[in-house]
Amino acid sequence: MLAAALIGPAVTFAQRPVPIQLPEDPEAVRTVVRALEDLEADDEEVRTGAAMLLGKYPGPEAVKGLTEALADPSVRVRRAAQVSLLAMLPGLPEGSLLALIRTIGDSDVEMRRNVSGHLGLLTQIWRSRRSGYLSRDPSLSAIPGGALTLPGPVAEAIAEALGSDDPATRRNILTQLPSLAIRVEPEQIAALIRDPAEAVSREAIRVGVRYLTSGGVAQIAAENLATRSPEWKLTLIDSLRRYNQPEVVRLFESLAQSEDPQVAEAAQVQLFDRDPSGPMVGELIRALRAGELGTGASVTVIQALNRLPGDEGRELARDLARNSPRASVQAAALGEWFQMEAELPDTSTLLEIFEDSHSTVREELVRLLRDRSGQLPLDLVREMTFSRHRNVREGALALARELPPAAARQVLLDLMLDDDSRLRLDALQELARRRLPGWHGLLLASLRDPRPEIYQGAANLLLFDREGEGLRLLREWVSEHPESDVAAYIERRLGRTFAPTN
Amino acid sequence: MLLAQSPSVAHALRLISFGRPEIAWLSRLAAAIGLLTLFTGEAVARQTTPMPPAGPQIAQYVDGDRFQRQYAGALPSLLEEVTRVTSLRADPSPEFIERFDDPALFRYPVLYVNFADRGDWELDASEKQALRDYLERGGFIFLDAGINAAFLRDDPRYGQTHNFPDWQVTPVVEELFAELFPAESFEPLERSHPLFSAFYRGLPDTSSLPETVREFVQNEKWPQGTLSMLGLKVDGRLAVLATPILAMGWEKNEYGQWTNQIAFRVRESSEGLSERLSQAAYDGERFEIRREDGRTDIVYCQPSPMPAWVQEPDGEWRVFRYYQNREISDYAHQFFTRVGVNIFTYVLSGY
Repeated sequence: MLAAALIGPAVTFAQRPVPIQLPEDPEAVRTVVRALEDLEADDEEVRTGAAMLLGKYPGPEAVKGLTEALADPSVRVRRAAQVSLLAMLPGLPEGSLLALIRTIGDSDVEMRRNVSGHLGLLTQIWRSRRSGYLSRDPSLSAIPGGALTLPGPVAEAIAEALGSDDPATRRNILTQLPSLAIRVEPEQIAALIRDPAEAVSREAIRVGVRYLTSGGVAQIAAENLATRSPEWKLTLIDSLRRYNQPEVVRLFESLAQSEDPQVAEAAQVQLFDRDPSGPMVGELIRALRAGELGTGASVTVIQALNRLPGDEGRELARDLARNSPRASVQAAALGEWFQMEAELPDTSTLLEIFEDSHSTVREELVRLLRDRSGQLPLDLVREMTFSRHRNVREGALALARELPPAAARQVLLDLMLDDDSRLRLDALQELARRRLPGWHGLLLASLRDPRPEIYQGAANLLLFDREGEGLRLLREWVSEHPESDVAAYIERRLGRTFAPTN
Repeated sequence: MLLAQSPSVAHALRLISFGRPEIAWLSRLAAAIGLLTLFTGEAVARQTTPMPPAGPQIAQYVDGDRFQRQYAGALPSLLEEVTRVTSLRADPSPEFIERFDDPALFRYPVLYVNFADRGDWELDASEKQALRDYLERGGFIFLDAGINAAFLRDDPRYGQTHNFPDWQVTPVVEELFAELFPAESFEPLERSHPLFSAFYRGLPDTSSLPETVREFVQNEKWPQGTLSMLGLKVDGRLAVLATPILAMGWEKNEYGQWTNQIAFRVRESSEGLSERLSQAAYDGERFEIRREDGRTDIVYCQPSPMPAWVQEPDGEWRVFRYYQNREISDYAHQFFTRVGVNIFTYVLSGY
């Protein structure tokens, strides 16, 4: 027996609104008819096999048979039918969608759990069918403008399943609750926040602020902090991070004293974000400098640096931008530092950062400089063309596009000396695109380059010079060098040599 | 904590000895100590505050726009996880190279490549030479999605969404490395290979999986927490590792949630189904896939590239069933992340 495998990210129905395909092939019709007959057999094994096979033929007959099989007395058949139908999404009609949703009330826990993770998608497709938005088949879009809320008994079955004895089912319904648009009482959500199963409680916290106030969520959560895991507390902090009600702040203050360093740190970061002059500032900045904070926490602290008193925040951002143990932190600090400085930092500092070993830092600096193209000193960009890092030299090319013609020409000429032929060719193209002084001469000189990518690129640029001068020069050059690689290339490219010039 | 830090020492020595075989034994010695710690120190390592990264260690190859690369956040997420759960310090930001002959490559002992991040696997002479030099000097290439079953080869994107166990590398990769190292060939990693237990051993807890899926995962899909991998040795050392796509299961968003939905493909049967399948119509294609035991499965797609059922060498036919729910998706992510941690632990510890 062999291992099977996975398929990857599910394609959402919104990306691929595929209608049911009617089988046309007589062989396929015969296969489906035989499987439908098997679905009526007395033997549950045969019915199970039929439900599996029908899943490969998403036509109306198969869908109808499988939908009926959802009510089969055998749990094996029901499970097989459910998996087959779910694999046919989004191409199912309304009736099958509702029948699938109703399996949330099945007596089998696996049936309930399996459909619980699809409720949002099933409801979304069902609504689309009702509104006729997605279906290409008129028979599938029955009631344009019809009601878009789930029928009462179906919605009640889902709400009831929130009290299911299976934690995974409870959690899955909670995850999709906002998209189901069913009525759920705040007391029910409060009870789920208190749920002993942490996965359920965490999900209830995430959706809780839609049904309760953030202060209400904080109050309920604070009741049993002592028994909860660090992961649960981190979820709590994350879910409440945008809220400032007093209960939330008090909760963060309490969590900031946690024995778990990650929880304490996350809560301290939130308090710092609300009041950068708070008592934890020293420790947080130390941790930030040491690279001990996670990426998200570091970015939050860095973004609050501009609210530190005096020049402290700017100096810290500058230090971190020049040297930090983590590239992501360094890049974030660089951005913050640039925001705080009206003038560009001096060239030597910028060149020092361009020597950083992290490519993300170097690229972030290029991006920031492009935003300040009006302030760019030419000597900086020219120095960049000699960097040992290719992405800095590429950055120089990108910045040259923002410079006035004379300055751009100098930078591009520097890049014409680059060892990297692709970069050199890019510079050549930019010179030609902007028709900077002397570009024809440079292209002609490049025809002598031994590297095919260079001489071919130069020949192409001359060949497609819209004003015709380049074409004339190329023609002359080829007639003077008929045995050259360029001439052979032109012959291959055009399928012929140039006609003699009159 | 001194012992827990020893893999970092091993790594530092490996960096020093990178390309210098005369002192490579130092890193091997430290690695031996480090691995010993990792085998015994999982619980301890989890409780510690993550160590600040020592700097970039991993290079990633991307041909063209790196923002368009496959599963862009996957490798950083995995490297964060490596730092979080082990005592290794891995910078979550990889260094990118666009060509295999980029001299920067030689600064990094590990190169991660997603097969689909290179459009054309016909390397020029300079890249071939650089790749040969890199591997001969101790470099390691992790070629993700380097195994693509036959039905996934028409379009590199197919291989990004199907982790299908095949026991041969994608032909273009095989041809390339056969040219670079004519005396070597890709061989399956045996299930007992230390890479599979470099940090985690076995499968994650399967109790959250549906009954049918659980049984299949334990017995056929990922027995003892292993899956199909092929390796190429250079100077007796594992130098290139090819896997079916793993990156699909690594990426987390800033709130720590998995970013993809992953479904399971499970082989199932029931009484009489084998006969029905042997007569069933299909409108996709038919492919042969090499099994671990060297025999061949014949996969029927309905439609392409979606495998619908399989004819196995013992004459049995089974149907591919696609299960998807959050428990399955979470489980797949957990497993792929554990495999990724094992790979990087194995490699960064100096193996």
